[in-house]
Amino acid sequence: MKLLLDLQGAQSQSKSRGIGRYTRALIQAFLNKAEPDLDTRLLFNARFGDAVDTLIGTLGKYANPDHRFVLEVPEGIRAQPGGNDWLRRAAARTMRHAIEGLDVDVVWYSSLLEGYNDDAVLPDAPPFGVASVATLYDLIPLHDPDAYLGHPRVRQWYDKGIDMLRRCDRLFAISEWVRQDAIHRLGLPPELVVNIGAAVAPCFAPPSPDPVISAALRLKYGIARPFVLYNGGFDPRKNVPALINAFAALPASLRAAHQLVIVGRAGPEEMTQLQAAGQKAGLSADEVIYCGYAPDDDLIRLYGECALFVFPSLLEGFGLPPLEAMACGAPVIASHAASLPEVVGRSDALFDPRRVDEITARMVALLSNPSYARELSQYGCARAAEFNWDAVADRALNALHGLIERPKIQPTATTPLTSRKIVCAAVPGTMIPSWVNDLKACVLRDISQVHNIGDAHLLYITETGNASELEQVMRMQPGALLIQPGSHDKSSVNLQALYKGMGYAGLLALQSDQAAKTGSNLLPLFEHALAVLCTDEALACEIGALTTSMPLPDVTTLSTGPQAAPDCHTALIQAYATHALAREITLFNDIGAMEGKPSDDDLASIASTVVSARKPGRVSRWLIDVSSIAEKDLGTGVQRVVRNTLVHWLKSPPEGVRVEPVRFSQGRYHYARRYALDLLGLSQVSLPEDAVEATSGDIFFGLDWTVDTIAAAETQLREWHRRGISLQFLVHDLLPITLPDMFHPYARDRFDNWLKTVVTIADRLICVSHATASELRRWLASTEMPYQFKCPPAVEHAPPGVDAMLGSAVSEPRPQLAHAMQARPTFLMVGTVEPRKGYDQALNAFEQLWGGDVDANLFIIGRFGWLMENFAAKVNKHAELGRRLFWIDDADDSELNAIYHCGTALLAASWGEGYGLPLIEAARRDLPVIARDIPVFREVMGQQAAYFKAPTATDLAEFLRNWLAVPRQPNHAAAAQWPSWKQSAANLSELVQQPIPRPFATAWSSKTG
Amino acid sequence: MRSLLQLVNRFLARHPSFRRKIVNSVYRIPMLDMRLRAVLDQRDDLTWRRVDINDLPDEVQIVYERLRNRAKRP
Repeated sequence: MKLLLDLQGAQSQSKSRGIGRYTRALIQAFLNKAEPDLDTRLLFNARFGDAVDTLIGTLGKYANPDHRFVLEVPEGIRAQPGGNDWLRRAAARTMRHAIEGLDVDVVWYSSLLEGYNDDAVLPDAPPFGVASVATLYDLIPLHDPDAYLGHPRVRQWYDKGIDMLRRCDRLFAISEWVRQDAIHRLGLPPELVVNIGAAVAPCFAPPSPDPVISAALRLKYGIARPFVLYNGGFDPRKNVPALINAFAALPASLRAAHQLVIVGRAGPEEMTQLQAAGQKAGLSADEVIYCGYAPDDDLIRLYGECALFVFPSLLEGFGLPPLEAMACGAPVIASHAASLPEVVGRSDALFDPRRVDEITARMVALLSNPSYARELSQYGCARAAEFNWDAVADRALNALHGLIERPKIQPTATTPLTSRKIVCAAVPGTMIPSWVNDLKACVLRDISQVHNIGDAHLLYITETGNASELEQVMRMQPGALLIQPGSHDKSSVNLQALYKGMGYAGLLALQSDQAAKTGSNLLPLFEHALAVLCTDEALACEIGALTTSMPLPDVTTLSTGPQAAPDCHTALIQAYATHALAREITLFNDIGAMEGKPSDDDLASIASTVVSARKPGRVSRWLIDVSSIAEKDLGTGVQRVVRNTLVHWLKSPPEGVRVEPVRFSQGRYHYARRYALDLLGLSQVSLPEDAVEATSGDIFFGLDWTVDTIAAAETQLREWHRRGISLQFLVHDLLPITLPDMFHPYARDRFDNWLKTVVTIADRLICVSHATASELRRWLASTEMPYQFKCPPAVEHAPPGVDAMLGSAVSEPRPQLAHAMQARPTFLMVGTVEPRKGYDQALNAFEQLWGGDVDANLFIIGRFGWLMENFAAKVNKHAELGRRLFWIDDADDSELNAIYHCGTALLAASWGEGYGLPLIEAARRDLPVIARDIPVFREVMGQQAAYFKAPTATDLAEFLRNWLAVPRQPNHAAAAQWPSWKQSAANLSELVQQPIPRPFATAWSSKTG
Repeated sequence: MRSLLQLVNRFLARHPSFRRKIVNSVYRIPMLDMRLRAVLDQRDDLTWRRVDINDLPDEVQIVYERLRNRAKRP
């Protein structure tokens, strides 16, 4: 059985009330028991983002992306303001459409009375073909309509909810009283309403004695004597003034020995009424204590330490406070009204709530007889233990199994598909086959008239040569498509359609493969076609063989002769019965027929909801964030990784994956098609850069370091994450965190913000080196972060490629450098001049070497970075500048190549690196490498470098002196260890596709167990 | 009066949670809410709009056009 659990009751304003607590507790117990017998899906309302995140984090594996469905709901559909009838009705109709599209057997609504003061949405009618079940908490407003349903909009909203309750196939009442009330007031058959009960959370148990905490608690609330406790709401049915009067009527000795402690959040008006009642009863301020809201920890101790708990309510759906008090060991007395006798279960602990004298008498009996109170307390503990969530979940599960065994619901309201009218619309100039007459269809020669066809089945008839004339019409009015062979116009290619259907690979194939052109004229129609029917088998084969990442409709070859019409009719019926677009057409027609004048915003909001209700496509998309590089390619090491990886992914996407570069601009992600086309050398092609709509199963990969956009993009990324899009990011280094003094505070803060954002929302972080991955794991372990789903990201590593780092062109170094390199050994330092690179220590070491008669050059090759002004001044005034010391900040790739070839060794004195590409560049050009002994250099170079620790310049000078005495040659045998960009892109894509480990599933199991 | 209300509206647009409180309070008075909605209606403000009709994803744009085509048909 496939079950959909609508969890809006735990997300909306009800989330912090009894409905929310009940839903969370029951669903956790239920899901533990339901699987694997039941295939459960959870339905969330995207409007309640933070509540969705909390629930996903709490429910762990049960809320994994393939188990959850997050519906994008329009803003402003709450009932309270009014004036939004059209939007409310359209949203409710779309909700029904969304549920019907999920192919479930049963939908269970956690609460059907939502959406008055928030944007919860419930279907306008029970979804077709799906059994509806709802939890019923109470019908108390029907007991006193004047008090609860006075405002006409409240009444209208409540009546709508009641109507839905009536139309459910089962109601799960939280008590027998609620069940009987529903049977009586809603006129429902008894077998339709099941009492599944309620329970108390396991945390409500007798508190362990602790005089210090007790004293602090009493001090906090001003409790000075033994006390009588009340906890709950303050609306009139709670009958709290009766309790105040009953307390005031206690014998003087008992009253003097006790205080009345009242817990609960009271509004100003309610507070005034309570205080007036106390004054009227003659109670002093010291005798009644209003605590306000008390957190669970406080509440449990108050329950455990009170002399008596009294609950005088006139109407309750269940009565959780007395059960909680019993579970914590309080002697409890309660009114004999509504569901409370079911909870308390003992007649001598009940009273008539309308008789103050009876309440007083019960209180006196308990307060004056400690042994009786003790006995009642022990009884309460035992009684409360009978109310547990496992038992409630069991009853719900049994009721669901009973429900599914009944006969399947049969369609009643809509016209049977087989008897619907057929309309054929032929493109002008198209030959209409003679067998179409046998369909008894209405034939339109003017395709612009198709919008008047109502709910008829629509069959477009066209030839391959003039099919493109249908695109605009089918965009508005989808239908089935009969294609006949005709003349192909091979010279014109619809590049947009080709890209839409086949992605960048299709455009690249176009340059070499003319066959790709044939389908491009038909692809735009397939997006709007419920079925494709061909009269020619070769054409059908050609269409069926199109490789496209767009969902293609079923392609059918019609028989020739008299069987053509019946085949066509069957295919048409089948398409309208099964294709998702057919259900959408019905939805559009229903919404279009609604009374009211929707604004364009209303229509766009509903359109967004409709699209979010669609099933994920069969092709997973990778949305590659290139926000920074698409803005400007600065040629940094990070951008080199972005460029090279992306080219390989676009040219050879992983199987079943469509790669789409995206960039954040104007408040949301858009396709970065201009950048991608330029990168692929397809500058002559132009494609629109529209906004991105991501669906569950897609992967967002932060390949670029998007420090400038991440803060603004966070909201959309979080929304995508909720909807089931996996968020993964490439981390190049943690240097601003591990070496904070070597970065400008502003740069450090920017990095810090970027890292904290991506860590909070990511499913996986992929580092470019093992060393960086280890540092990141350590940082994660030592930093408490507000993870979106309460779960830290997985951390992996994948090294970047190297073969395309430098071009093969080699020029001559400038004469001054060439002369110096011929005269003496030359040490190269390559990289931006910044503090962590160790340039200052290296220069000091060389000054010592030069002073000690060692004759060697130091070449610094890199642009000035930051925080090195003193170093730059020192170099520029240095006596050896231009003799044995050179700073080249304008070398191009070919000159750098030449310098590598003529140099003696590369000196890598960095104190920290993300990877170390210059070392590999040097090694691949047979240049010996002398590197500082840091983990990432060991990881990258292995045995191919000479390592130094050298905490001081003297140590480094000594090392270099020794190295010059016995220079080592590079180890050519190990050169193959670095992956090419092709290998690197393949490794990275493999990693990105691996399932994300879900540690929180275990954490949740242990928590609830 | 009109310019004063516009001033208030602009101020409230910058403080959505405060405006929500005011709007909710106003709506408790049945006779007043219809008149004040035009001034305070949260859905009229760009800052509250989550769907921008000028920048819709292609999939949403198609559905939007289909809906508009049907809903605004005479």
